[in-house]
Amino acid sequence: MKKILLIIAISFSSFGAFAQNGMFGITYNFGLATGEMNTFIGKFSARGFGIEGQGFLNDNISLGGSFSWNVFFEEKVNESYVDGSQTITANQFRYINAFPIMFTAHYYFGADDGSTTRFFAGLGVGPSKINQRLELGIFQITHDYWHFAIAPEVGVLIPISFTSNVLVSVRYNYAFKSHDQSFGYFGFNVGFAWM
Amino acid sequence: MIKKIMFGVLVAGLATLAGCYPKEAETLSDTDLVYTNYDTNFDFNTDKTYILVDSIVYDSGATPDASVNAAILNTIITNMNSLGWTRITDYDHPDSANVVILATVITVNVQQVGYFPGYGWGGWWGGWYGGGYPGYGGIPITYNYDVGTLIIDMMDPTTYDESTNPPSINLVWGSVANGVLSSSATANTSRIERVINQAYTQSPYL
Repeated sequence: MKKILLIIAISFSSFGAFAQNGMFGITYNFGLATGEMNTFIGKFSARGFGIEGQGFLNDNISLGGSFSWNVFFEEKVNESYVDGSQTITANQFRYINAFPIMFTAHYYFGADDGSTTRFFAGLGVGPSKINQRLELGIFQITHDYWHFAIAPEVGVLIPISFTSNVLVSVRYNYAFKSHDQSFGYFGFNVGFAWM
Repeated sequence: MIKKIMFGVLVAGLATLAGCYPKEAETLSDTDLVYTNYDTNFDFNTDKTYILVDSIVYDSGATPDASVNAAILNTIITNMNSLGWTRITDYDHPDSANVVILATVITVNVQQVGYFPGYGWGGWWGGWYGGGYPGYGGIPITYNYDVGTLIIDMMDPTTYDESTNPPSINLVWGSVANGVLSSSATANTSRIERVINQAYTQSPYL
């Protein structure tokens, strides 16, 4: 946890360099797993949140950082888990907690006049802590490792006052293979951003 | 505005924290579990004969319950016979059958962290012991045998080796049903049948 807090602090300290024109956003995050992560948990996640900060280099380009937390959960009744010659049948409780910590760059379309809806596209790069847990009756099988991750994103800022905006974005979080597993999920994020 | 932000962070943070592990095992039946493993090199199909040890081994000398013992043995026999196996009762010559089956009930808690256990329960048939065999131990896990765990071992009698200390024998199939023997004899019987049936259902190679 200390490591996570340190990396968050370093990420957000970079905002000071761009303090002239900055943005702070907070979102409620939904998630849908893809690929092999979807095989483990196919259920839509409605548990997550994110915070992000950006400093504008000019009217259209920003650099910053983000931190988010998505919780995926699925219960399977009397399910068999097979590993080689071994089989375990039990009620399964499957969890994935994902903590991507991204350094981000965004491009905002259109003019920055404080009253126009602005679409943006961006990319995040950084570490992501993935905690996957499979509970089978009395047993637990866990994957709890750091991954290198990327997160391309598109979204929109809709002004609701001079400084406040509704922030809506779709982000694809992909954590590259570490200890034989990769993870990918779409994040659907809805919240507010203050400029 | 700072207040708004902090309030938002607080609400979102609490929402996620509350859901880190949204639901976990809540009832005893949520922890029911049937584990099986087998020796992939063993031939289960050419000679389908077995000897079933007709008494249940209870570790720590617990008092056996006759109805529970009968349920365990009868359910094993029913499953073996329905899979085409023939029971042999020549107990003086265990190697007259392809496999020997032994059921054990664990009556104390055993907690360990590591790989899934090899077997080491003794006290049967002049000190035969189950030993681990290649292929076991692939999943690093935390496990906790509860009181009343039922273990069924299937062993290859031709591998019995008296020269080792303790004597060893290879397991070719094993089943562990966690905590299946509760305090109620009625509930026990139906749970015993269910978990033993499940052990055979998930072992189509037998």
